[in-house]
Amino acid sequence: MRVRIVGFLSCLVGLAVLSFYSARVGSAAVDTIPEISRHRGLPNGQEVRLTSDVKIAEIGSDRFTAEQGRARIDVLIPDDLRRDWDTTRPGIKPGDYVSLRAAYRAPGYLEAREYHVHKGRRLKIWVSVAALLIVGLLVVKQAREGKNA
Amino acid sequence: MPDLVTHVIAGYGVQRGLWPRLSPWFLVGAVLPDILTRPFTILWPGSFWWTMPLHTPLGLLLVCAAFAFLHRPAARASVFLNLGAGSLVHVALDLFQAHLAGSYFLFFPFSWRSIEVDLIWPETTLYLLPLWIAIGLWLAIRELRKKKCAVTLGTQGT
Repeated sequence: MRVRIVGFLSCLVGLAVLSFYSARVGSAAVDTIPEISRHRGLPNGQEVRLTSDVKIAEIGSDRFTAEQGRARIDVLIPDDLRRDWDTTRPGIKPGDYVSLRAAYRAPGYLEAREYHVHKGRRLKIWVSVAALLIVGLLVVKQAREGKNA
Repeated sequence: MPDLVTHVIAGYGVQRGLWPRLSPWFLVGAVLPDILTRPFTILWPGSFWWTMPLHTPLGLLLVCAAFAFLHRPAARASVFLNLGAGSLVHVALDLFQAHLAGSYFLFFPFSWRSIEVDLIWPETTLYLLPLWIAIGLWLAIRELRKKKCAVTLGTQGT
């Protein structure tokens, strides 16, 4: 019993240490829109990477508005990405997910360097929820058949 | 991550096709890294760096060990190995993806180098969904037929 408790708690402590370390070092990079909003004084040209949990709120001919939680920021599409944007734009709609590598420009917008619209991410999330149910059923079925640990 | 259906099919395929002795914990391991991290990053994007270690080999090793310690001593090794092997299959499949940001740090906390093969976007595996549904239906029908045969044989025997 003692081995069980000590072993379990040691693993939890190890995980907590890893999480604190990751949060402390990883968070040094500005990688969410709320963080950009907080750091209004980001140096002009600083590279920012936003993950795939960013949504497109508004779509324009040479820009879009990215949204994460309640925070929003305009993303300008530069000339070298304009042709790609012109072909991508008709197929996207507000609410689609996007990931982005961009440069911060004063007084408070981003200039895209690379972007990818994740069409189908919403479907992927729901499909994954359904898959969890399938795993549950398979595990229960196999456990009832006697394939226990 | 590829969608969880792809992870489940891969785990189930390995379990059924390659190594039938793997326990249900292997299937749990095949979805474990995403269960531990994705709900948090989808609901609270700022939590990415807090949950990131749970999607790395070392973090998963600790999670699998924690699960194993909750079991009786005789079952611990089996739970740990099955969960760990399932998680390993998950992490291996994830390596084929491309990300512009928020990718995988295989050697964390020893290295912050992000490692990926950059072959497909995370949502590309959705194109395989019809195939997975067809295979799932085929397996379900096969299972039902087997049960029906067993019931028929049972009634003929009595």
